[in-house]
Amino acid sequence: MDKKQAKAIERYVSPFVQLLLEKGQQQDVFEKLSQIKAVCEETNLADFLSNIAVPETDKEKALRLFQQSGSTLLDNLIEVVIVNHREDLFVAIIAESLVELEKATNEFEVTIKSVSGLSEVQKQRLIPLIEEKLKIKVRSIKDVLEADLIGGFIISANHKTIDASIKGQLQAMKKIFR
Amino acid sequence: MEASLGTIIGNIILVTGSVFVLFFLIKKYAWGNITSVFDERARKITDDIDSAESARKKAEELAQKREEELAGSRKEASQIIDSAKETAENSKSNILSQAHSEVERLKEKANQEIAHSRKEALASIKGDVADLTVALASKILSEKLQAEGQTELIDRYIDQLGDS
Repeated sequence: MDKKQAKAIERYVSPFVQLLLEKGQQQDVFEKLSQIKAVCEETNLADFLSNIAVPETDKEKALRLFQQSGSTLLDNLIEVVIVNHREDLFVAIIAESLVELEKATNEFEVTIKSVSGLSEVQKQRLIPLIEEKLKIKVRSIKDVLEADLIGGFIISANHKTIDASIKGQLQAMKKIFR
Repeated sequence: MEASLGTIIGNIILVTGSVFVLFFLIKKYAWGNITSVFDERARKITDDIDSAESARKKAEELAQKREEELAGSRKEASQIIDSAKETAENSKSNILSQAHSEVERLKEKANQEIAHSRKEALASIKGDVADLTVALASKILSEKLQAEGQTELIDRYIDQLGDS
């Protein structure tokens, strides 16, 4: 993505996020945006929307499927994108909106990498610790299995990481040896 | 035919008179020219002698001057040789000193390179040992840690995270 595109995305995202915060709809719309993002990733919609061989009408049809989401603000955003023929930026606008909402509310999805996953009890014990250590609110937890860790876990959210894995400890030990 | 005495005397007087007349004529008309030729000749010879003397003196002076110049040149050449010897001596000292410094510098550099290579080799060995140790530890831990062990380990790390 070049600077010009980034600026264009910002012009859509900033007022949209501001309005969500003013109307207090951030929680509800965040869920909807997450669902739209998941659908986009599953269907590889970004490629479809940025393909110049695809007619504008087909792109419009595809985007209109996300309208009637129950949020006027979100529907309006989609309408503005269609009217301005910026369908190619739609997926990026959704992703950036999620990032901006996370920053504005300080509520983040936390990724926990482990070898075999954490139990619900362990997650519930971890949440207050994460909120205390990373100074954020936990919106949700995303489990990622990674056998390379050998044992323990790695927590990451808002570009911060807590490494409590055996792999991390071995790497630290290796550094000391060197 | 026999001449008479009177004729002989008359002839003698005539011849004698003729000789005197000839002498008189020579003295009157040709003597001056003849003597002037001789005088001219004598003066020329005297001039030539003087000129030769002058040339000899000049040659002597030139020879003297040449001798003095040669002596000067010899002295100058001697000075130049002495100066060259001194310069050569100084250059020799400088070159020796520079060579000595260069040898010291190269020695120092070689020592530094050896030390650096040794350090690098040690670091490499340490790195290899660290890699092997960690790889071995990873393998052993991967094999030993079962599902139950994983859960216990995560609980322990959560406790430690809470304590820190």
